[in-house]
Amino acid sequence: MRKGLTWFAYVAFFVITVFPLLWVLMSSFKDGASILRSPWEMPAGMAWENYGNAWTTGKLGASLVRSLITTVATLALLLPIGAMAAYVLARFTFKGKAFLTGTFLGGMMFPNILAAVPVFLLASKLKMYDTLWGLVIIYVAYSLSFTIFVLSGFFSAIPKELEEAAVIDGCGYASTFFRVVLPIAKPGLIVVGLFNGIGLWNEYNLAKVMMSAQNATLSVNLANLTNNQFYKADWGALFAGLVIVMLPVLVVYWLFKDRIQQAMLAGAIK
Amino acid sequence: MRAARWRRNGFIVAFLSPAVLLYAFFVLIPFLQTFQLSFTSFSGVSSKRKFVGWENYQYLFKDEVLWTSFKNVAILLGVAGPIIFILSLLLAHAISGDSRGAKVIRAIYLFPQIISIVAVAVLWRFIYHPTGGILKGLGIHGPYDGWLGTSSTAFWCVCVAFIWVSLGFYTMLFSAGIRSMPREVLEACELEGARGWKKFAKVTWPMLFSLRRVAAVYVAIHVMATFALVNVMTDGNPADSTQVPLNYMVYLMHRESDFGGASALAAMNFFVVLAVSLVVMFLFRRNPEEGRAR
Repeated sequence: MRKGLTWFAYVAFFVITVFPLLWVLMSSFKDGASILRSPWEMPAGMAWENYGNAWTTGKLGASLVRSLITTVATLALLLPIGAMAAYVLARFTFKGKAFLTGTFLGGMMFPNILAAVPVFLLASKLKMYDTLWGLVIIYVAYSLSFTIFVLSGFFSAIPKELEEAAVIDGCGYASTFFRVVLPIAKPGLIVVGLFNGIGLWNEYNLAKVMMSAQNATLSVNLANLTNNQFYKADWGALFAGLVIVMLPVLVVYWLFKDRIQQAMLAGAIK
Repeated sequence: MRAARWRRNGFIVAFLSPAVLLYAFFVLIPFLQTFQLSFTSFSGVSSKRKFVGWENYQYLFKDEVLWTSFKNVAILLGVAGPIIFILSLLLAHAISGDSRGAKVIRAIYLFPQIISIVAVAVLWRFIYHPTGGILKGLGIHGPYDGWLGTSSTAFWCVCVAFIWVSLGFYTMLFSAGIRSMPREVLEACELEGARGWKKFAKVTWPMLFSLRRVAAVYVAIHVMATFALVNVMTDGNPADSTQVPLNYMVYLMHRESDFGGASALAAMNFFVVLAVSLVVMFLFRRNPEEGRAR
């Protein structure tokens, strides 16, 4: 009886979680009219043209490239900048350290869009509004809290003796960091990179406020496309778009799920 | 000796400054500016800012949409919050073992959390779609204007989507707590023959006291941060019945160019989050076991 209840919970949860995603995948291979007419029917054939339509007429291709560029560029800046700051905060004592750590931590508590008005004004003044590099800079700034927090944890766990040995061997602080510490902390960097990468790929709030509709990133573009297509019959492309947004994230998550969960937990329990 | 100190301090400054400068310029200062801007009135990037005191706040207090939006987050907090809390706790308890089913659930429970919130919102729009949605396909007919098109049902539909997307995160949190419980306790539990519900009530629930507080604070933070889900699912429609503070803030900013009002709303949202978090921390303040021992 008890076992039965547990299994019922498993099956119910599995269906509720996975079924809608499979429905999206299935619908992405159907033509718009048959999605509308019979949402449950299996696709008659593989309507790959939905993906072509999403790519060209939905302009998802261009926005996908924009999302890819912003995600990669943000990570390329964020990881070194975040790692350097996290290392100093984890290893050195100096005046104002507690204040700095607290200020960075505080950033994880409020939603990034709360300061939308001043950030928008600042971005406009600096000619950053509606530019990819502007979005990248803002992304780096708003990803620092989490990155620094999780990486400091990794750096604190590395035994100090290694660095002391390196210093005795005549390494300066910076070269100790780059040659000794960073290679050891590589698993931490990968975890933080993956987690941030997923978040940046999915990011909506700041991209919505900081980019115009023509230069929208993938998430924002998909939302716009939904609004335009919702009451028209051609849903095929929209479902294809949904798959294009979700699939890379799910694949990355599947490959690294233990590590990603580890990063999420480290960020959540402070 | 002095040279060594200089080198050390120089290193600290050099390594910290990129992060500190970026953070200060784009996160911290704008955050503080929000409060300052909430006392001004202006409608464009280059237009003159006029100091208006509490006018923006007074204006917002008279705005019905503001009250609807705070009522809606109160519903998320008071109705969706406890549901998420209880369901995720039970689910975490159910998947704490090593059975095959538990492993499968552990592999998939973060799916809704990990995919784009936009995908979640679009997906749920289709689930509720009046002519071609999943619910319609199941033979469940909604109101004439559709589930999301009717004021009385729309926000509850948003709540369901909110629960769907949130469940995994809290399950993960509680699972981690259960897995880090001391072995001796679990073994003693086995010896006493406590399993299932009894184990949950007598061991899991009391042992997770600190995580319960963490989770409750997160519910408050996540609810008050709701933006993208509503923005993409309904954008506050129909008739502002699904409006939430942050979406209304973006509306004031983008559509009405009311930057002062938007800032005032952001400031209000911040203080409400703060107040709610403090209340939640107070409610979940004590380790019940400790209280009894003393």
